[in-house]
Amino acid sequence: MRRRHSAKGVLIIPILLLMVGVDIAQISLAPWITWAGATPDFMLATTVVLALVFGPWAGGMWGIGTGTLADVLAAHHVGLLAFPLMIIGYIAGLAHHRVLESRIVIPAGIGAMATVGYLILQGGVAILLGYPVIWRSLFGETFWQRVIYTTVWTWIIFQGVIWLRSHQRREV
Amino acid sequence: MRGQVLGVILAIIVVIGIGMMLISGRLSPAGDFARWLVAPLEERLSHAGKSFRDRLEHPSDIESLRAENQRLRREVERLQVAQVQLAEVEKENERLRALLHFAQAHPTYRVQGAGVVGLVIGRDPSIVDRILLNVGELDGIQPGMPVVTNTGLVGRILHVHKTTSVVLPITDPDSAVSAIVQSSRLTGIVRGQQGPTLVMKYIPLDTPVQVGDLVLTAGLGSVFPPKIVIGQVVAVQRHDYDLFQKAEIRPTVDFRRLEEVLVLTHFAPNQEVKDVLKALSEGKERP
Repeated sequence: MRRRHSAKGVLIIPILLLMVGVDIAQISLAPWITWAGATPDFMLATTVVLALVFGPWAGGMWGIGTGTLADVLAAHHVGLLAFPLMIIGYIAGLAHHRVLESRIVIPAGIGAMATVGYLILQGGVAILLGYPVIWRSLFGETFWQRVIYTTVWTWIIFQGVIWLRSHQRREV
Repeated sequence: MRGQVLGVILAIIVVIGIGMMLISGRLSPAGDFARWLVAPLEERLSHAGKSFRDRLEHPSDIESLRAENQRLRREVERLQVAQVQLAEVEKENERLRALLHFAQAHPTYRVQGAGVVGLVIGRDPSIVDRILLNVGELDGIQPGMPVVTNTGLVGRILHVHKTTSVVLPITDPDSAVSAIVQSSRLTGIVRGQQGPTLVMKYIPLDTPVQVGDLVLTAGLGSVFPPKIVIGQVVAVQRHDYDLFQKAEIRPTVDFRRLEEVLVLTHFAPNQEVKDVLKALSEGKERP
C-alpha cells in the first residue's frame, strides 16, 4: 500500500514537468509554428487526449493544472484558461469508454468539437472577467484553420500516447 | 443517480472556477517567481521556434538569397517609413507656414530619448491578445511605455515583472490609440478588434477618408509619441442613413512575425506643438 502511494507521489513530478513543458511550448513555441495564420493549441490538445485516454477526472485535472499554470505565466486573470480547459477535459473524458470504437475518427471529432467549445467557453469566461470579446473576430478569419490545426495536433498526440501506452504494456 | 453525480461534479467545477478567479490578485508573487523561473527557457524555446520556422521557410541552399532578401526588405521598410515621414513633414510645413507665416519651417520629427530593445519570447495563449518580452523592471521598463518597430506602432507596456514584461498590442480591443489620418488630418480613436485589422469609428460623414490613407499616432494625451505609423485604411464603411462612417485599418506591423521591438523609455510628447505654443506665448519665432 505504502509502495503504491510512493509510486503515485513519484508520478506527480514528471506530470508537473510535462505540464510546465506543454505550457512553455504553448507560450513560446506555438506562435512560431502557425499554419495559415492559426496557432496550434497544445494545452487543449493534451487535455483532450489525456481525457480520452484516462477518463474525465484525469482530463479535468490536467485541464485545471495546465490552465492555471498558463494563466499565471501569461499574467492574466487565473481562470481564463483553467476553467474552460477543466470543463473541456471533463466533458471530453466522458467519451473515454467509446474511444476504442474508432481510434481514428473519435479523437479527431472530439478534438474539433473541443476547439469550438473551448473558444465559446473562453469567450464567456473572458466576458465574466471583464475582458472585451468580439465574437465576430473570434470566429472570423482564422477560425477554421484553428479548428483543423488543433484537431490535427490532437490526433497526432493521441496516436503518440496510445502507442506509448501499448508499448509500455507490452514491456510489462 | 448518474445524473445526480454529474450535477455534483459540475457544481464542484463551477465553484472551483469561481474561486480561482477570485484569488487571482493574490497569486501575483507566485506568478512573478514562476515567470522569472521560466523566462530563460521561454527565450530559448522561442529562439528555437523562430529558427525552425526560418529553416522551414528558407532552405539552406538559398541562404545567400535569403540574406539579400532580408536586407532589401529592411531597406524597403526603412524607405517606407522615410516616405511617410517626408510626407508628414511636408504637410506640417504647409500648415505651419499658413498659420504662422514662417519663412522657413524646420521639420523635426523624431522621437527623443532612449529605447530598450526587447525580444518577443511568447504570446498569451488565451483569446486575450498579449505579447511577452524578455525585458522588464531591471531594464528600466515601466507600464505605459510605448512599444514600436521600424515599421510602426506595436502597443504599450501593460505589466512589468522583474525580467519580463507584457505588451498590450494595438490589435487588442482594450487598446485605444489617438490617431490622425495623414491626408485629411482627421483625428479619432483607433481600436483593436481581436483580429488582424483595427477600426477607427465615429468619423463624420463629410470627412473624406480613402482606402490607402495612412493613419499615424496623433500624440494626444502623451501616451504615444506623435506621427508613428499605425497602419493603412483598407476599407471604409459609410451609409447615408448613418451619422458616422468607420474605417478599417491594417497595421503596418506584421504581428505574426514580430521578433524584436523597441520600448521607448522616454519620449518628448508633441515637442513640435510644445515649441510652437512656447514661441507663440513668448511672442518669438518658432525655434
